[in-house]
Amino acid sequence: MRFRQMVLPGLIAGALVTLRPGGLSAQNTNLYWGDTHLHTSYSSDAYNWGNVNADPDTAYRFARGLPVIHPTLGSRVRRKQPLDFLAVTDHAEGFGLGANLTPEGTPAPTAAARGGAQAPAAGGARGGARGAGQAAARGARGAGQAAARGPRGAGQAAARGARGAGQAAAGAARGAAPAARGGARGGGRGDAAAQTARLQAAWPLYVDAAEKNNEPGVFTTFVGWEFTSMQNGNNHRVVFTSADGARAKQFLPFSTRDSNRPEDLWNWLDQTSARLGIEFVAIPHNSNISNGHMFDAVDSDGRPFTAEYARARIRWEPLVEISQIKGTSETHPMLSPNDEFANFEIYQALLNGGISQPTPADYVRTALLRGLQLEATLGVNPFKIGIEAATDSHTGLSSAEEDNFFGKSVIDSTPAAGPVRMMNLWEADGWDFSAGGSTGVWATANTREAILAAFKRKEVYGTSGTRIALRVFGGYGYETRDAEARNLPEAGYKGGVPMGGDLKAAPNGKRVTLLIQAVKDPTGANLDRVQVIKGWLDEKGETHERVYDAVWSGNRKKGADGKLPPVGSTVDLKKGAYTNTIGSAQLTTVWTDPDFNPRERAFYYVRTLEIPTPRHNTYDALALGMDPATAHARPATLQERAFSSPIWYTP
Amino acid sequence: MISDSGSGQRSGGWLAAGLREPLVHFVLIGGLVFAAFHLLNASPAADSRTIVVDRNAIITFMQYRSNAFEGELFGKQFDNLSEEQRKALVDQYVREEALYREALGMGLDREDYIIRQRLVQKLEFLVDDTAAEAPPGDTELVDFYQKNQTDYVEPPVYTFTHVFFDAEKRGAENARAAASQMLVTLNRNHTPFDAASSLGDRPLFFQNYVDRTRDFVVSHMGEPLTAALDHVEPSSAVWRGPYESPYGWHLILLTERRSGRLPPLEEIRQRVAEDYERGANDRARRKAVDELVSKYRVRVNGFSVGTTP
Repeated sequence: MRFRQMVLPGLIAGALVTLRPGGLSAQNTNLYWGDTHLHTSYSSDAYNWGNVNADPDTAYRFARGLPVIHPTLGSRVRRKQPLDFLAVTDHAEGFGLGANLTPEGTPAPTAAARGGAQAPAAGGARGGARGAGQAAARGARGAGQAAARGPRGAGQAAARGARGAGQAAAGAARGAAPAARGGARGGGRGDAAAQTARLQAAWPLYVDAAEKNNEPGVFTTFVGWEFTSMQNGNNHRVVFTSADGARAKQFLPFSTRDSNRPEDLWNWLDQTSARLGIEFVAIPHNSNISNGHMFDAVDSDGRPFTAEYARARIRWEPLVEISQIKGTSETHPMLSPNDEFANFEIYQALLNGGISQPTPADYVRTALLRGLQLEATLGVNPFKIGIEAATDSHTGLSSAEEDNFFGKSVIDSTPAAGPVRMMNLWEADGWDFSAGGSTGVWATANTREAILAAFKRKEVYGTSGTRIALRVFGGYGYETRDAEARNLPEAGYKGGVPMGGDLKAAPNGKRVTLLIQAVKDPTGANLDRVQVIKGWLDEKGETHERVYDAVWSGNRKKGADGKLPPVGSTVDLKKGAYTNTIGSAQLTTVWTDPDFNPRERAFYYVRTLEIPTPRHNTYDALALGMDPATAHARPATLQERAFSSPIWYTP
Repeated sequence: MISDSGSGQRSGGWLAAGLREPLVHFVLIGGLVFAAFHLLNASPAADSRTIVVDRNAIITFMQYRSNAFEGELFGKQFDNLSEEQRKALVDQYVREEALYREALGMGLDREDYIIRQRLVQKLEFLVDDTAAEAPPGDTELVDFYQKNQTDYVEPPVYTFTHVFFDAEKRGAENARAAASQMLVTLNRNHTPFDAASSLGDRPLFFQNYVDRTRDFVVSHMGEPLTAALDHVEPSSAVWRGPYESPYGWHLILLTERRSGRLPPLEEIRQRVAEDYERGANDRARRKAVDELVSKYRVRVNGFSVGTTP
């Protein structure tokens, strides 16, 4: 079968193929749950919003199920269901803080030495000021900018080196700040010393927290960070690596201090991965508030994409975060007017104030469509993106459950803060946030390498926070009985490719078929329906999308308009409760594309909806003695959902 | 700034107070060291109008510029540069250094909130480092372990496999009847653990549960079924049931059940020691910061805030 061969290139990136030349089989992928986007007190915004003490170690401990102290409440909290993996991704823009390069073997600077270093610096300062005059004052703005753009001031005095300074810490630091070039000059003790320079301060501590909590097979941690580019709007990416601590300490995270341009980030990832022999993945988020830029078809200079650009982008950004606290970016009712479930957790409050207008460059579905067009002209699809989801919580505590949501930040972590507009600039309050999301990963083992490989081959999917187990396979030969097979995944892997994979030109007379299995969250709500979302490029170069109901609970029949009646609701708004008396615990099917055209490029992804359950604002409203139905503009209930990574058909 | 108002407070006996200040000590000692250094070396680096560039300075500069820290590699890279390339690097370095000194000279580092925050955070890291306490002794550790036992209690764990009869597919009554019928066969044939995966209906979640915690089993099987497992004798030969879960009926081969327990300290010594140090470090950090802050007298002008800290 031709499409079998297409699976392999995708796997090579994961290096798994070298271990298992036969590719993956059902026996060796398990479902692991995790969060790839979480901030701690190391992020300055989190710190400013009240999280002064939930550091990376706290975050990892909480995620793996150990008890920690809640940053605001001061009470002991513990996750009932631990995560399987976590990447703490603090803003890289803060890691310059205290990063000092000092030569190995250099004795820790004594307080006296630091005091001494102060003298020449101060002298220099005065000297500079004397000759400065008017011209220098004019130049000041330029100088300031140069400093801001440049790397961290070379060789700031080694603040952390002051081990043993004890009581004198305050005085020492007062001396350390202006000491400026002390570190660099102190390094001038011979080449050997400088060659084994080591990095000190925040970044190594951060890496150590990940290293300490990584327990292969039980709980996986990733060293990661957020590249917080505000070029034209929210163009943020989280980046994480499968590298161990020793190698992660051989770089500092690439941040917008280095460049605002994602192209420069990818360059740096190229160089650093080659230099250290490590893998990275970068994942854009909140395209919904990117102000028309995240999936715009132009580069940072406004020029149309080239094949080279497209290759670099998809090499490093093979996925997108579809759902998180600041909303879901799947699509928008204005972009998908025929999709009755498009209006889900829409969030349009821009970070610098105001409301974003939805454009095709802001949402995942339109990006996937645009990718088909770009591939037709460039030969490479820069938006061949898989789907994942994360919280982006700033509390250090990864929480994505409606009934146990700790808020975006420490200041909105209590019910009373729900209806309060939190961030002065934002057109949003605590109840506008979403209690989500989570990523499910089909991986061979719970290790850094295996999980990162699953991200690379896009055998992952995103949810609005729920833990629906979702399997999707694409091929040409699935039969109805495969959906009933005792070992469904085995039939899936044998007969085609898993989510994230590729199908090439269909055998004569065959149509794309999908084998789908969705199982409810063990502790959550039943399932309403499974939908297939197809996007395609017609022969005139125009894109189209269609939503198909593939399988659903109960005995509902589609109406004359082709629509399936709603599943109903069991939510009791007076109690904030629901029952699983409607919906199905499991939905499986083999779906065949009724509109298949073998000459048209297409993608297919699966969306699974739960029955309605109370939204987090309902629990808060009840706690505050308010009526959940009228407490807020946001609905009192929601249908949580999972979004699979797509399977692409390329003739 | 706080230090300004502080020195204003002390205007009466500033000399005496100042001599007790660590900062003053640093400046004085530092000044002496600097003077000695200057006399001995007559280093041109001490001249504010001279920028000394050597191999190490450039290698350090290259590493910061590329956010990559591997001195040896950059040393090699530097050694392989052409003179022209070196000149370009030196030019960049000199430009940055000169502008940096000019900016400092003009006091551009003052009243800059980013710099202010960076310094505060650097000091916090410094305090962390200096506040870290020695590892706990045996007595402290035992005491800590006993006070925090609830953190270390391990929940009960279960090992079993099951044959599932799907109520949604068969209807609840039929599922139960089929399960009852199968139970006889399983026990008559001494059906082993591994055979379960080919019998009954496809389980929703897991086929086998190995050393799974009680909470986990409850999340998949429901409380009543899990409670039933608490009252049977584990055995690798006897299938039990049928038990009802939210999804249908189950026949279960429970091969092991371990009760909840508190592991002895020896078994989890490292974890307890880490927890102890974590707590101790938190306290030490808070204390160190409080001490630093308490060295300042605060005078609030023009409005009232109750009692000053």
